[in-house]
Amino acid sequence: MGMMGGGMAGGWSSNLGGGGHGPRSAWASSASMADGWDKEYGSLYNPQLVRRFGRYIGPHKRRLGAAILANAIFAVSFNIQVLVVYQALQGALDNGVRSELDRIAILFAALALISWGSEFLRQWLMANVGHPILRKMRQDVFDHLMRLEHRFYDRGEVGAIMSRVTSDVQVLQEMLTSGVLTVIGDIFGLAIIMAVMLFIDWQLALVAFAVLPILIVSMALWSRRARKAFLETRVAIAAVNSTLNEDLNGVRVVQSLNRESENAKRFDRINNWNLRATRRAGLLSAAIMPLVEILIALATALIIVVAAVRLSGGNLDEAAGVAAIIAFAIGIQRFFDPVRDLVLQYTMFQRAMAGAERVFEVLDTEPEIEDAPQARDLPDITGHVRFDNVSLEYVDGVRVLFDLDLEVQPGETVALVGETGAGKTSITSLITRNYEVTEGAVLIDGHDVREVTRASLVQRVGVVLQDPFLFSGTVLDNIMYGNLEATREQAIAAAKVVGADEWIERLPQSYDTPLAERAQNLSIGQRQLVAFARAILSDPRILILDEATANVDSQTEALIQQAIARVLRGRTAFVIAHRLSTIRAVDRIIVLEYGRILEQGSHDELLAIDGHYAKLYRMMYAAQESVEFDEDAALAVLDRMRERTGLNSSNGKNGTGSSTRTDEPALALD
Amino acid sequence: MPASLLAIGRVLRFALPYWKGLLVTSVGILATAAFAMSTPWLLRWAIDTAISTEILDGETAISITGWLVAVAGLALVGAAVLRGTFMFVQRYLAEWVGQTVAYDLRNAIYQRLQTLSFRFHDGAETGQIMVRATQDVEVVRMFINFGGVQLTFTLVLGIGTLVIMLLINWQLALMVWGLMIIIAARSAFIARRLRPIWNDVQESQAQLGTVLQEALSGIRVVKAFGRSEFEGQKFGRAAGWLQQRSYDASMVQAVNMPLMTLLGTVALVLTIWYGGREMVNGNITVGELTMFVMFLTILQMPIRGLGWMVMMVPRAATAGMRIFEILDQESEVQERSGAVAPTDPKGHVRFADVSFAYDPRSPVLGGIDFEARPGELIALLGLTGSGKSTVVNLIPRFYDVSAGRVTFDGQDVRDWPLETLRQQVAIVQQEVFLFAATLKENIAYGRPDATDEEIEAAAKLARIHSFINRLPEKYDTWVGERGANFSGGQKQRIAIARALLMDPRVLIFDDSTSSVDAATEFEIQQAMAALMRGRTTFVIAHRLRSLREADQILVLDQGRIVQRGKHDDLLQQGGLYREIYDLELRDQESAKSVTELSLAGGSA
Repeated sequence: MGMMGGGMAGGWSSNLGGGGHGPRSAWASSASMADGWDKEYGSLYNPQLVRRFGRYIGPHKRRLGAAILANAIFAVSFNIQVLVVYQALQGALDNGVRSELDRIAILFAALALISWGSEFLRQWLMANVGHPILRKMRQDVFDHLMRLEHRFYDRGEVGAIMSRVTSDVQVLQEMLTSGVLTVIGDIFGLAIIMAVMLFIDWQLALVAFAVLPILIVSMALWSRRARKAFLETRVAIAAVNSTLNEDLNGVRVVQSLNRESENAKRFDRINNWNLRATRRAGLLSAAIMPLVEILIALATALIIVVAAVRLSGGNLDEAAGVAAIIAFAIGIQRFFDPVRDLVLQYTMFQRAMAGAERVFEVLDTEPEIEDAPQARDLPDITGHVRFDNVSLEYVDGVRVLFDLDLEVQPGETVALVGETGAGKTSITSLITRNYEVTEGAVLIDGHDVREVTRASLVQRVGVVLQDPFLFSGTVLDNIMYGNLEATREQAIAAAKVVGADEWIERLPQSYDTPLAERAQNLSIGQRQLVAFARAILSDPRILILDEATANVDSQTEALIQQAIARVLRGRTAFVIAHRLSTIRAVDRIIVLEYGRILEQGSHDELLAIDGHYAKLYRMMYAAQESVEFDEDAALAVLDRMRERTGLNSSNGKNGTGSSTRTDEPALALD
Repeated sequence: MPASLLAIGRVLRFALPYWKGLLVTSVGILATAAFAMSTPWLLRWAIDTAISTEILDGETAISITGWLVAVAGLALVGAAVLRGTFMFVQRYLAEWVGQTVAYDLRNAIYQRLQTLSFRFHDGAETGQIMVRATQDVEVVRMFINFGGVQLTFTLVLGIGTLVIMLLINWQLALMVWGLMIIIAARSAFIARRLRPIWNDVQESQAQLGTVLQEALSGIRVVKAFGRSEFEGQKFGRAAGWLQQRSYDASMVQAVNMPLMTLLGTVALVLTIWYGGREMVNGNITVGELTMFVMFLTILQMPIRGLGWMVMMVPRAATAGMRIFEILDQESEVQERSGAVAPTDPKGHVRFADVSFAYDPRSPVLGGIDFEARPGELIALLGLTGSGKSTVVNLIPRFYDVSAGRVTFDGQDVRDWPLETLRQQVAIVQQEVFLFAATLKENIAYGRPDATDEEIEAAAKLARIHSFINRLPEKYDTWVGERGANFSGGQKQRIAIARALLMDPRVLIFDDSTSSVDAATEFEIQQAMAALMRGRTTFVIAHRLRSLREADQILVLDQGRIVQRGKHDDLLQQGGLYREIYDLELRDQESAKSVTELSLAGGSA
């Protein structure tokens, strides 16, 4: 995850009152998830969405048509079997002719073969249509996501975006292929079997159909309740799993803070919620089959009774009547199956529509920053950077950079200094064109960044972020990420430059050591060094270090300081840092406040003029917080807590209150 | 095989407490099967007796008994209602027992994981454990629900109908059953064939998820290096493999499913053809033929699913074994029975000739011997891998010593009640883990009953209060996934507040001010002065300030204390301390002096 909102920090922090590193949406993440659940089911039919599927179905039109045809053939050949059974029996009962039976049996077998062939064809065609569509849709969503810029990611959560690529697309594809075809097949099947039944005996058929309204109404009621229940089980099991996952990852904290029993209780609550939800859903899912079976039996019974009444009244031929009873015994099953299926598909369609909306919402988000049509590759550059009267707004009307003019010479190292929200990250983000300037222009060696291709731009500009995100793969893979064409030797050379070679060599498989999940097998400092090596492997002319040393542990810090000195040599560099040693070493310090440059110069120069830098410097190093509260009062609160909980003295009365503690030998630093 | 049988046995033992539910389920299965068979039988009775269909010399003759028809109709509906009821009860209870066992298993796994010592978690992979706690539990649940219940149902139904059919017309019965057995065998064969494909599908889905997760989480890196296309290709490869295997699975199904339908239809054709002849010959009645046809309809679905049910048994055995692997783990750190905490803890820590090894062949610590008196500040210094973190992890007994002993207030930590001991020792780790909860809940994590005032007091002391107060929702601000919306320094201060709220006698900072910028570090250092009063403090940090103020510095090298003493003395001595000083610490001298100068200027 890391710093999802890093780039926005400057933009939002004025609203947050400073200090915030995340965009506003991240604070409200829990709320946005709840919105997602509400939209589990969409309206049944949205013509606009359906039209958009057309683009995916287009190339497969013929196969899809063939599949529908196969579907129709199957529906006919499968359901006409009932008629064949009827005629065979009627013939046999009527005049006892066995040859008739043989003929009919052959016909029946032929029909069975046809329905076999058509069913196979249908399934085969669907597999060949459905999987490519699914894959294409996924790839489209993914590629589109990769095209979207920082502004989009500032808003969303990775988890929510992920589910659009995986489950939403899956639901959509299921509906597109098997869903639509099943519905078509069901409707065909239903029509044919109804026709067959009506043809055999229209009166008995109507009796059988009479049960239908009960089935439809009860299933509609059922599916409405079931939908809610099943949704709850999905939400509940997700909660169980995420709790488990989180507490497993944080198990060391849990144990050191004695939270085991409290957590066990909490987990049990969530686990129990899931249990109750699944039981409720179980109640509903257990009900549906019995219901259908009872209705089938009811229809069968009605047919027998009506047939018997008509037979005894002489209104029905004996052979035909008995044969009809048997044929209907088979036919009713084939009549009810598609009806039940159609009701179930209804819910799936609604889910698919909601999924479609979410998928297309991503696809409809247009990247704001794209290569201009006549964009050229950025040629070899010296590393001259100029901000020409640049203004920037993340949100309309909320300006974060004001008429900024800044020129950085090739090879120069500048440090951007200022409080959070001053616009440091905004400036560096503009160099790689992660955001578009609102006014003015950013020029690299005289080329406006908007007039060159982004691919060539990022190749010339190396970036090291505070969160050294590494990918799964080996250490070498990760260094090579900076330059896919580099050789192994070049990658190792890059590692040497940043001083990472030594410890990488000591890893179990040196450069080929696979990295664990989130590169947990490396220390933060080591991860940062790999990120450094990665950045310089492409030999960029311009280097941006955005709080790159903030997360480094103290031991690696010295290493990195040396690495920075080596890495920056001969490159134009923008450094955002709060470590004094880093800031002091740069050629020029640029002091920013609320999106404006206040002063610039070297460390000594700026201290000498005793302006904002000097003030900021003093402020940064002054213990500003300590004046805001009464330390003794805060300590007293903790003391009282001890007395309240009585945890630290088992008998409670000889407490270890403040009096005991002040008796302890005073520390040297007092 | 015995191991897997054992696992099945243990899985079933989890279902044992719910034997009543299982018993009712079993009764329900038998009743459902019986009533399921009764429908065709009633239909036969209706045709043969109530309508009394007879074939005489090729002529069909019927004589209808009106009340019998009515009885048959009612009986059909009645039997269906009863069957439906039993089916409902049986299905619901099976689900109930299955879900309850899953619930029990999840709780058991969770509790075991929470109490297993660091040694287990050091070697365990989160992803692997999650698979066991989710997918494997699900497999066990499905086994109890379907494997157990549905398999029994199918067997009872199958044997029942077979017997009835054999009694009526054994030739036809054998013919039909020959086909049924082919369907069942084919279904088992297909299940076996699909299993590896589906495993692949699952695996490739996971792989796709990893690519996706990484590309999205690391989007800034992807963009910074212009690797969108590269990631797209990676994704494409993963998606391609997933598609290939899903397609393979679909193809197996595309061939198989129609074949199953065909075999079922062939059985029907045979029944009509041969049964029709027998009927005309008067060997079976019209009703009996109808019953045969109906049996075929009922048997279709259960027999088709037989393969899956059978496959569920070995799958459940494997899943069970994997689950029990976790449940059988014993924590090496066990509370001694009758452990009693000394009253009035002071925070006196002693290491007496302590050795430690994760693996007996490669010792991590050896001959560690030192004493930390209440209120003292002990600094540990050494290169990576020298064992600093291991030393402090032995105090709250996250691991047990291999030899020697660690005492807390004179009592071996192994004789302390674990909970009490860990209440006295708070550790702030280098990498801060925050939970998805509000800030308040995160700070009160170790002390859920803390009042708002106490939480704020701890936050103030950790110098995070005013930051929190500036947030729109203050202490109720939601901490996102792993605290992604906070900077490293903020997270560490939250962790420090969390530790302070435990009000421990011993505070350990495991390189925990490393992500904090100099200004904040200074603030925390100041706060620490107040906090350390009366607390024994261990600091692992290459920070000059800590070292200078320490009552004792322990310099570690390859698991041994090579130097000890105060800063000035150690500096004089030379050795490793001096080396580290020259390499890393000296720079901080100048920074510090400047800071102090400015501070002086600022307050003036």
